[in-house]
Amino acid sequence: MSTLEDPLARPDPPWTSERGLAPLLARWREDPRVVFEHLTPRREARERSFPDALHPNVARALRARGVSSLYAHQADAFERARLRSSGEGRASHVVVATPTASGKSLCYNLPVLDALSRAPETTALYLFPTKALARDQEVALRALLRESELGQGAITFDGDTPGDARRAARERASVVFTNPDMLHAGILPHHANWARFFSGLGFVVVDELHSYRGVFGSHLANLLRRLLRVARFYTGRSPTFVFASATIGNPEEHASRMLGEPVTLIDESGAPSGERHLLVVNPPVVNAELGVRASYTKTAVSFAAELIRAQVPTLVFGQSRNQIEVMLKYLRERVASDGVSPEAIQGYRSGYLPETRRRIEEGLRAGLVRAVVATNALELGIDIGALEAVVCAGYPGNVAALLQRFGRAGRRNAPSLALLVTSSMPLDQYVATHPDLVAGAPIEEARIDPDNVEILVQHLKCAAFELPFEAGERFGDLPEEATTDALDYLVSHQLVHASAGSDAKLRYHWSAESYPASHVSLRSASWDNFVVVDLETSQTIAEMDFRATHTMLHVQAIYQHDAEQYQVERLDFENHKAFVRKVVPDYYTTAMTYTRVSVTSEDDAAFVRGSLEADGVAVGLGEVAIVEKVVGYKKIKFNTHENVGYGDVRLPELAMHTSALWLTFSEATVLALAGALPASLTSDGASPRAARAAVVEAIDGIGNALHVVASVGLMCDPRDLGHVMGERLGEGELPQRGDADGAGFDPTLFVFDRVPGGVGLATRLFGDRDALLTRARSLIELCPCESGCPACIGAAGIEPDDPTRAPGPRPRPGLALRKKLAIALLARVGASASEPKAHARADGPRDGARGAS
Amino acid sequence: MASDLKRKLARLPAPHAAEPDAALTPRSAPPPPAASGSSDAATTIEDERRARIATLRALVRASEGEHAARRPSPRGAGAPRLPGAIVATASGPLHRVERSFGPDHRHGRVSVVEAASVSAASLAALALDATLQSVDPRRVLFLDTETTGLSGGTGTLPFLVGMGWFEGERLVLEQLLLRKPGEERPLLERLGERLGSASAIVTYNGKSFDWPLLRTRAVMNRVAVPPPRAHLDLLHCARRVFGPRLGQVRLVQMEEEVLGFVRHGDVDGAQIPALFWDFVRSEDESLLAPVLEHNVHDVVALAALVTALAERWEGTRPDHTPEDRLSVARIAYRYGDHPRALARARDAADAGGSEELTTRALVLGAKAAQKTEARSAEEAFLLEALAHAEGDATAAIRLSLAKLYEHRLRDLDRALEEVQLLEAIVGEEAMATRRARLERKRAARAAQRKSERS
Repeated sequence: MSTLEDPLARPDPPWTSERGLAPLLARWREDPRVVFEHLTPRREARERSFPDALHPNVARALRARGVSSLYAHQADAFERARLRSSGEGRASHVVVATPTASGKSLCYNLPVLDALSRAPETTALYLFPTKALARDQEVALRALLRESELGQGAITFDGDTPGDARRAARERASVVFTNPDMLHAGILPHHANWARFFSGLGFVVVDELHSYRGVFGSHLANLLRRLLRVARFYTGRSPTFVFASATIGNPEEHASRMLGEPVTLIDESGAPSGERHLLVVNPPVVNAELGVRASYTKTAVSFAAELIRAQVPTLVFGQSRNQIEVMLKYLRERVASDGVSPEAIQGYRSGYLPETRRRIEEGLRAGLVRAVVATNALELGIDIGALEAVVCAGYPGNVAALLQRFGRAGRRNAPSLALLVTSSMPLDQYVATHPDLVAGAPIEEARIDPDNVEILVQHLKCAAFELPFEAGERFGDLPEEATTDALDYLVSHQLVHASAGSDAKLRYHWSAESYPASHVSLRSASWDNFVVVDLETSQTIAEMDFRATHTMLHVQAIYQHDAEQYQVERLDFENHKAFVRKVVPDYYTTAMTYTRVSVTSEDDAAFVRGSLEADGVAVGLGEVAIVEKVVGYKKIKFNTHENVGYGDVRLPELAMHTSALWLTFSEATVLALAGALPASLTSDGASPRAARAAVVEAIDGIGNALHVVASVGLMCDPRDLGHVMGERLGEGELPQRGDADGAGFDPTLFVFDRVPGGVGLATRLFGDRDALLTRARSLIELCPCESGCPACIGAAGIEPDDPTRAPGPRPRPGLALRKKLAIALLARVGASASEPKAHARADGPRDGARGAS
Repeated sequence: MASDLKRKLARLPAPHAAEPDAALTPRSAPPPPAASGSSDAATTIEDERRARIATLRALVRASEGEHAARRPSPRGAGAPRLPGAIVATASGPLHRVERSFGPDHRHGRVSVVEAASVSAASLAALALDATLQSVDPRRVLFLDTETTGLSGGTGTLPFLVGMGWFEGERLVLEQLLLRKPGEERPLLERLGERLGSASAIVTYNGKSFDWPLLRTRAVMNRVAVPPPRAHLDLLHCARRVFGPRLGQVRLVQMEEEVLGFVRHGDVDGAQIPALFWDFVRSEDESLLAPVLEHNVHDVVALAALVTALAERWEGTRPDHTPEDRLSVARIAYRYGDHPRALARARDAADAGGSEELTTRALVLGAKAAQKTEARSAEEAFLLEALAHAEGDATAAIRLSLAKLYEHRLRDLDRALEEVQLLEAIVGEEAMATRRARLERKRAARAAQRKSERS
């Protein structure tokens, strides 16, 4: 990247367009693509004077900054945390769940500064999900420490911390900023070296609590169990926890589950906010038959380009690394004619090296960068200065993530814009037709399962390594009996040894040679990153996680980086390196994956309500092995999105054991429906074989609908789930290829937890199976398409997971019947017709809202 | 809930982290019974354990060689097979083993007790650590531990602590054995006592391994173990003295190459953790006998290594290799002991080593001579080095000569001669500045002489 130039230094372009948001908003109100508008009025601050208990030095430091009062939630958080830590009364830990930019960090910094002022030996541990966030907050707290005349040190301890700074952190720092991975592998297993730090541990701050969901969240909960054990070893009590979270549906429950102790919620923000316009843009249907809509990527680019022309600082969020590179390229081309230099529009993603990212952040703060196209690297609270508009290309999968992205825009007093462009993806279309979902308070709940057996056992090993377990001890909130069961399991594998010590107490001691933390990764992608090396310069240009490598860095893949295209020439799988060379192709590539599922154990089985065994439709719940393999790739032409070729990929499979719900349709059911197909189908020249294929295809389509309604029902990110159609196979069994008619197997739909071991999503789906099937039928019935579209059962012949998919129908016989067949199948398994249109009211106008046109 | 967890645990595959054991499982071990119910899982594990212990025993016996024949069979009468005694302390039982070695004891070729009479100054110099100057070498504590792993951290146990110290003309050894986890207190308290009366500890890689581990155990068991007053880590000394010659500087290499001691039937260090855990589970003491022996060798080798290192520092003997002499010269130079550096460099150059080594020794000698302001010696070293030097080394030596003549001997003509010779090697351009300056100086000097004469 070349040096940043000041785009404003250029002469004004010849066009005299509107400046600022207001004229754009006025025009967009008339745009038929805008299906929803919502205005959140300006909110005044609710303030309180400094609490009496606040140490005068801290109060003075705030006053010197021009702060003479606190927002209500900041004062509340301070009081509660102070009470808990001073042991007065029976105060519990605190979770602060207020919107982005409401001054959450002061909620935890104040009690810490106050305690450091009163008891200088106090220490505090700050946990952030990413290194970048920790570094950001370190700078902020250091300034406050200095201004409060505190001599104690604050330091970031992560993988990048050099050796002497590490020693300083252990021996002298009062506040340590780190991430869960480092706490897990670098601090807790060596806690004796941190004896001074743990002996003073008064506070633990966990920011971005909502981001610890699913596997990562379940890991963190276990990590906190371990942290509590170590803290109690040194101080005999647990430190005060202050959690900070974006607004989610269940912050209090989530924090309590995370900690295993009661946590009090503070969620009424006292911070002011400027008025915010929320727009939902649904690109028009371009193929009614298939329900295919205009490219949401391009639509987002065109809206963003208008904002840039109107000189509104804009942040564009994409769904994937690939997509943001495409948008960056389009956006730069689009505004180049208006004299905006390419450097004024920057990409920002997690694959970028730290120095590149920092340069972009500085450019934004300095106003040299006018727009940033980002993945969720920016979603978590990195301060990048004042942005007036956020454009989200595609629904990020859950309301909390969307609101976090939207929260990046808006200054205290100026109006701001949050704009969502929905794709043709089912969940996006669900949001487009029910937009009040995103205008109201978030309803999604963060879910974790700290007792997921795989995760639990891994951390129990680490915990035993850290401190021997005493007989009868509980691991966090895990009951005594369960803790003992789990420890006995480790004893039976000779990983721990139970013996009575000098004091005759029975203890479980770690008794294996290896260092358990080094075998446990807290992130689901439990593998090392790959680096991307430019063959021409021999420079490392990016890093990529293990899983993404399979789809983005296979040989021949077009790898997009900073709007340049590179072709992967060699992938050194053993050494985790991909070698790329810059090319100028007229296409990009997208990987095709093949998924295979086999059942390892069945926990529960049922026949669906109303259906008889004769119908042969069974629902099962159990553990499955999922094997994913990238088998090839497609070449997609830029701009036209035509498919212009294929290639093979040879990479190892990715295997995962998890829990799943499955729905098996017996061969008899399939044949019965196939036999009942109208003659018109067979007159197309189709055989009974084709009729059967049509039924199987309809079942596949139901999988798509199930996936959508499952994620809505669970209020989870659709990416937390996976679905695939296959056969009910045992592990290692080969699929049977039936007779010439393709018959001979029972098509089975699997909806699975996309997390090793599962975090309980499949179990909840099984419990809710009747409603699930009914919702799926309703989704399909209420969808306006003719014969199936991506929003319901998926458009036939198009990969449902490809966000940049091309509208290229490849009709096959029986296609037209897919939707009817799917409804018939669901009717057969007892799904009742048309769910009451409880959520359809969103189509009607409401305050400040306009219905779909 | 709990039973649910138990059911899930039963279904989990065998956990990771048992891999060190896998290597010990005999290839001929019977495969786990196929298609057996889960109730057999415990039996299978027990079978595996027995098989593994049998393998370990075989290994132990093989490693003991001829001694194995006269040992009673394991699991014989309950008599403890390990030496030493279990003493009762206020904090619990402690297994102590004591031995001592007389004034004539040698580890290989090297005397052990002579380590008591080396000078503290030698130790400080060898370690490049001036704080060791105040150490009383007669009161050092040789320390080496055997542990349940090499990765450190709070879950790694030092289960055998070997300590050695001098009592008059004898080296006394005391080994403290942890017979099971949870009984560390008496061991740590005893270690604390010894540390309290020692002037320093002497270890091999103890700065990064043994000591941090013991300090961790002290914290974990809430026992106040005083930090050592000083710490001589022989690994770093050995690397500086013997590293250039031997490449690797593991303690066994030192024994074989420097002390002339070869261990017979020594236990493989990688098996020690597994031997300990199998001892804990089976209480079969014969498993640990070779580990105790291994640890005795380690501690005794520390004392012998002190003797061997100090001997090289304090003088040169005919059997000291040219490489070792040059290494000592380098250490002396770094430590600022320039006369010694000069002397050892001379010794190294005269030892009949390779031309390259001799050249490097002579160049180092010249540097040391420069520091001691022995001008003529510096010139002699450099001229001699020139005679041995080959290739690029020549240019560097001539440059040193040019500097010597110009700045210290103030012989501009000879400096210019060297410059002329250098120009032939490195080109005129590289020498242009130097030549110009020298010529300017020479002209100035001529002018001065002229004015003085007039």
